[in-house]
Amino acid sequence: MYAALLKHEARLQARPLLSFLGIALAVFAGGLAAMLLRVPLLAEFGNVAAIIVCLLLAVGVPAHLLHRYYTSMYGREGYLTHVIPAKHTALYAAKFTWAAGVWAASLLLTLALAYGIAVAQTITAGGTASDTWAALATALANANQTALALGIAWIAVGLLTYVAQFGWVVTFGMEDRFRSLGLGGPVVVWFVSYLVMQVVTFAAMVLIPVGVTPDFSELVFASFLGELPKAFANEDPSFIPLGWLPVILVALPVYVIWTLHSLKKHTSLR
Amino acid sequence: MSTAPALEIRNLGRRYGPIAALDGLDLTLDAGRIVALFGENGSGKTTLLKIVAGLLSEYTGEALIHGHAPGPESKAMVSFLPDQSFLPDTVSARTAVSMFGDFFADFDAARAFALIAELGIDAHRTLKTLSKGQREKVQLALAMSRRARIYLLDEPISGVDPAAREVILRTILTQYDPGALVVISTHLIADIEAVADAAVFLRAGRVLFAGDADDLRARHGMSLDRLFRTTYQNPVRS
Repeated sequence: MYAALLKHEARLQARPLLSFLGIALAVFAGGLAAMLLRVPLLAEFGNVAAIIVCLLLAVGVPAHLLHRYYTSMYGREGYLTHVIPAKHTALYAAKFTWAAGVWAASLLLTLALAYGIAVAQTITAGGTASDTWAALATALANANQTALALGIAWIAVGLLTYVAQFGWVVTFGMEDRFRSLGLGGPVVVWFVSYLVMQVVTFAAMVLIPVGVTPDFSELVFASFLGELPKAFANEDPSFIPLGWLPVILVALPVYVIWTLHSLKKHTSLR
Repeated sequence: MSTAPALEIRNLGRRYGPIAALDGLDLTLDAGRIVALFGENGSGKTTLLKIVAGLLSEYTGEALIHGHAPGPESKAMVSFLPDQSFLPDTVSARTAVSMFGDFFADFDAARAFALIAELGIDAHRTLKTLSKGQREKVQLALAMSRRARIYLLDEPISGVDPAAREVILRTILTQYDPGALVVISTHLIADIEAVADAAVFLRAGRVLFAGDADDLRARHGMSLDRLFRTTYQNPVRS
């Protein structure tokens, strides 16, 4: 059933996503062409248009995925979704996989487009395409590899956590207890959960005594509490706190388990 | 095959805030019957069908579908036609048939295509290009093309013209498996009276009376249509 559900997601969403992507790439290509051909007036505009496409991809795809989750689960299409003889875990797994996959693909594409803009900017400034690649390769080689690996891991886990959080916000926000709020339910849940996450993350950063030196060379096991005055005084703290890492790692399963519980016990189509 | 009733409801309760949509409802329905579910607005008809279909998880009491609580097992046996459009606007009837084929093991795609053609609908057209009545017919064709053990049809003939009503009713009657239970919720009593084997009258979330259609007519000395009008003339205060 999981495969059928995944196929269903692809069947319903491939066309709108590909249409959006087609338009975005056409605008991007036009913008880049205007830059590379140094078309008077249009070159600057092309640069801005290409950057806007990148931003739209970064924001538009998750917004679309969020909207689809809501409409397919709690809009009128939910009347089909919830009568499918599938376990709630399969239903959720298919939606989670699809959303995470599409979002990850859109982020990679955004990075590729951003690289394209950088290449175009280098060429219009008199350089060559290989200059951009060389600059990127040098930057990657010179970067602290631990920090780089940590950053990539953080992005991957962060993406999964955001997918889980968005799913939870809608699922929990559409429970019967928020019925009177209508669509405001998920909005209120998101707002409150955002505030709670900010507070919890900050508290974890300060209270969990683990961090790393600014050059990422060694771990530091000390409370960040003593470093706070420096941080507030705009001075560089002696280490970077890592207390927020466990929060994001714990948040992911918490969102998933809570969403599954909510789906099983509190589904309430209006 | 289990000997449990097709549908067994015991002390079923469901509240929407302070309002009790279902208030200790008891009902047992056997297979092989067409049951008309009557009641004024807010009497709990749709809520009852939603619980049995597995769309509402929060309720008190018990609802058993051939011995199973609402869940994947019961959903595999129940074909639910809600009172609203549940298909995405962007798909065609052909795609919708393919979707149902993927999800329901008891779905007969050939039967669905035949029904859609019989109802005069071009299967290649996307649903957004169809009228409300045509969309309802597509959904009905999908729901009736399952070899389900229970059909739950919520207002299948509301919002369409009398000619379409006739077509829809004929479709229901000719397509359901005679061994299945068909529950039809409606306000259009006159249209359904001739085909219903049994009727259930709900009021304020409880069964007011239920039984064989002929028995009800004999007991009250009037048609079900007249009985409905007489019963619900004085709305209950909630």
